Amino acid sequence: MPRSPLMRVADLALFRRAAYWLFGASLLYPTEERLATIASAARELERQGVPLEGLAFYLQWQKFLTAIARCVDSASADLEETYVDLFVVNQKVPLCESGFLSPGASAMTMAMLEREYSAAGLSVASSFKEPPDHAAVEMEFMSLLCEAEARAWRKRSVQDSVKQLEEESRFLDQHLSRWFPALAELVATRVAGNFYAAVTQAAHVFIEHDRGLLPALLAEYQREGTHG
Amino acid sequence: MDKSVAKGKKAVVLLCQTLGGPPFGLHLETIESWLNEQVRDVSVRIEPGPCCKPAPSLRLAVTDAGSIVFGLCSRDYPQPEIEAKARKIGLDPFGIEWVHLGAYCAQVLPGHAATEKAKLLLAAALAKAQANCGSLPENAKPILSLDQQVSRRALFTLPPIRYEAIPTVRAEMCAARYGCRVCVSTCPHQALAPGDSGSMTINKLQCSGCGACVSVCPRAAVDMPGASLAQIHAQVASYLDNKSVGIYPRAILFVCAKAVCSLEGLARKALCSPAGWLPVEVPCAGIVTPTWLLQSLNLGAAAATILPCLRDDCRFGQPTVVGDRVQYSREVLKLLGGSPEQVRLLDPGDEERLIDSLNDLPDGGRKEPRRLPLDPSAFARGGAASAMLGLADTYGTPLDRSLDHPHSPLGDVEFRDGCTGCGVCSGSCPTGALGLDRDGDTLTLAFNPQLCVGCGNCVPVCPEKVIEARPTTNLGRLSGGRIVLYRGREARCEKCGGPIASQEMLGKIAALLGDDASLSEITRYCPGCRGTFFSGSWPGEIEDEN
Repeated sequence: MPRSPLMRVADLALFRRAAYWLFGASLLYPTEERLATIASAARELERQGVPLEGLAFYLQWQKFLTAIARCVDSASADLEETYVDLFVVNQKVPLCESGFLSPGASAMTMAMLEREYSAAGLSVASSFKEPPDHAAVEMEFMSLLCEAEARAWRKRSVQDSVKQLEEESRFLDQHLSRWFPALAELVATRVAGNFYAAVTQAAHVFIEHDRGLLPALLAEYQREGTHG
Repeated sequence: MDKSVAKGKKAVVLLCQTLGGPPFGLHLETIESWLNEQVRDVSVRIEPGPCCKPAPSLRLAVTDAGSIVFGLCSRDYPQPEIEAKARKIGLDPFGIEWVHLGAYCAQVLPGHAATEKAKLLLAAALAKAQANCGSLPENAKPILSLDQQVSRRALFTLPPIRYEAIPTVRAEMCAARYGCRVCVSTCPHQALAPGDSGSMTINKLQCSGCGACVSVCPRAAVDMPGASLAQIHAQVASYLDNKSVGIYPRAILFVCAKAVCSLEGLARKALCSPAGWLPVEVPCAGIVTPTWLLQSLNLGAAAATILPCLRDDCRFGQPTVVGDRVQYSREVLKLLGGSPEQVRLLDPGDEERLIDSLNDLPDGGRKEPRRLPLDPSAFARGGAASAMLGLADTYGTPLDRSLDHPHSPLGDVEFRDGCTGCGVCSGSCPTGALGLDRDGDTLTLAFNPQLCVGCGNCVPVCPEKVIEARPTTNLGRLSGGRIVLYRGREARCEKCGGPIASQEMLGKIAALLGDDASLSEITRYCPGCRGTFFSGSWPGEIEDEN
């Protein structure tokens, strides 16, 4: 039996959830344990045989997966050194939204984001040491929104799904898509061909794809959702 | 940002083997050996195409390919699946060229003529594919296609998304920061707006992908895979430049992608038209400007014609504008001494009239085409002047003629008395048609009519309100070179010797300031040395330093 359209859209939301999680995790400090988790998650995605060649970000996604496989094989100490050099020492490349959009007013950006997270019933865990406008946190938030969207599709609740899609679209437009392209460009100019260039490039292309996909999904289902 | 394009690799032509048998009858081996002779680094394969019935499992095992051209027997093929396979081997799906050899030649021409035309079609498609600069992620507009026709196997696996190409703006070329809004006023879907960075941004959802902004941009800053200015020029130039195929006269037929079915309808009924009609498929007739039509004639085409889609299908949504552009082109041809019949707008809704129009191919055009360097600006808006002057040269037109027309791609600017040489207009001119030059103490504001697109950006910014701009085609002005609109002396700062402003401007300021001596600093010092006039301390500082 072919899968129904709603289930196919739900599958897509689940994949997007996994992708955002992977991008977010890849932008955190690369401990050996974290890298192993990322690699195993990527392998699991590949094992499930999601046919991504049908999607426009396929090329960059493949480069990202290759980079993950390669970095697990190589010494994690090298990657740690690159991470520190690129993102930590003197913040050559800031990994936070405020670093690009409001360098002098990061507290305001962080407060706004915390309000967003709390409106969705979430808060950044106290054990987590990065600020709430860190790329990994914004990506993880998108991941959770996608998960909620997938759940709504599976329940066949178009109205709830549309609500989630609107949230995702708004968050992307107001946050990630406004600064992540600049981050990707900066990383590419500093370390072309490196793991972080592959991650940020793939994430940028993925975000750009989502910016086109979400309005298309909304246009398809919004009216249906309004009529319940 | 990486563009997904493979440079320096072989071009691969995949010819559907069905085209070699009845009812098509193309000499595929002849085409293969001709392409191998004529085109460098091409590999031709004759095999069952994706258009065959039943469709074969497409191998697409061409990992060494830089670009792919499909020669198809019909348009019925699983495009999303092929695009997915292209991605898998690292190819840009928007870079694939699909040539419908069935409808364009094999079904409408006898064997030898069809084979000759197929050579021209494939060589031009290769030129177009090789001129593809690759696409950006921003060029892909996702379209949900939950009812997408895919093979049984793919139904279980492919995500319900297909992609349409839409334009992107090259920020470094865009003149939005100078106030240019030509694309905004052309787009009927309000898809363009100035972004945070100062250049235009395109709203994916609102963009219909008609490409109208690509061809009207005065700076050629808008790009669209499959319909970039470089690709269109490469295809047209290849059609007209190829001397080893004996098809004459040759004419360019700009075909809206949605109107290809009209030509297929004629092909199904075996309604023949002259082999010289050479199709250039475009996303929409709205992308075709008078520059494209006239430049095609200038390059040697006997005619340049548009086949739009049916009025209700139009992506551009303004079929009357397309008609007005054609009308302008016809009037220009009359002005130049050519035949207005060289440019026409065909009617896709009336099969009989369509075939009659196609059969009425004007004789003429050059057998020795005008060689222009492969420069995308030939089909950019700025290429209009070279097209007009080239055609005037061909027809021996006296250069004292002009035509005022709202759809003229060129414009003219005139200054009334009162210009102070402030140069604000040159700062707002998106094409550099107005330029302010300094030579010692002499300031010159000059106008280059060949670069003016008549956008009128300079009119509202002029503080003296002395500029008049209008869309017009004036051969005399176009051939006359730069025109000096203002020349005057520049006043120098009494402290550093740097430029302050023109003498006229300072005279005007002095008159406005009246007798207030404390404000006279304005006319004596440059902005850097003058400081502020409100504290009274800076002029003193200047004196101290002296």
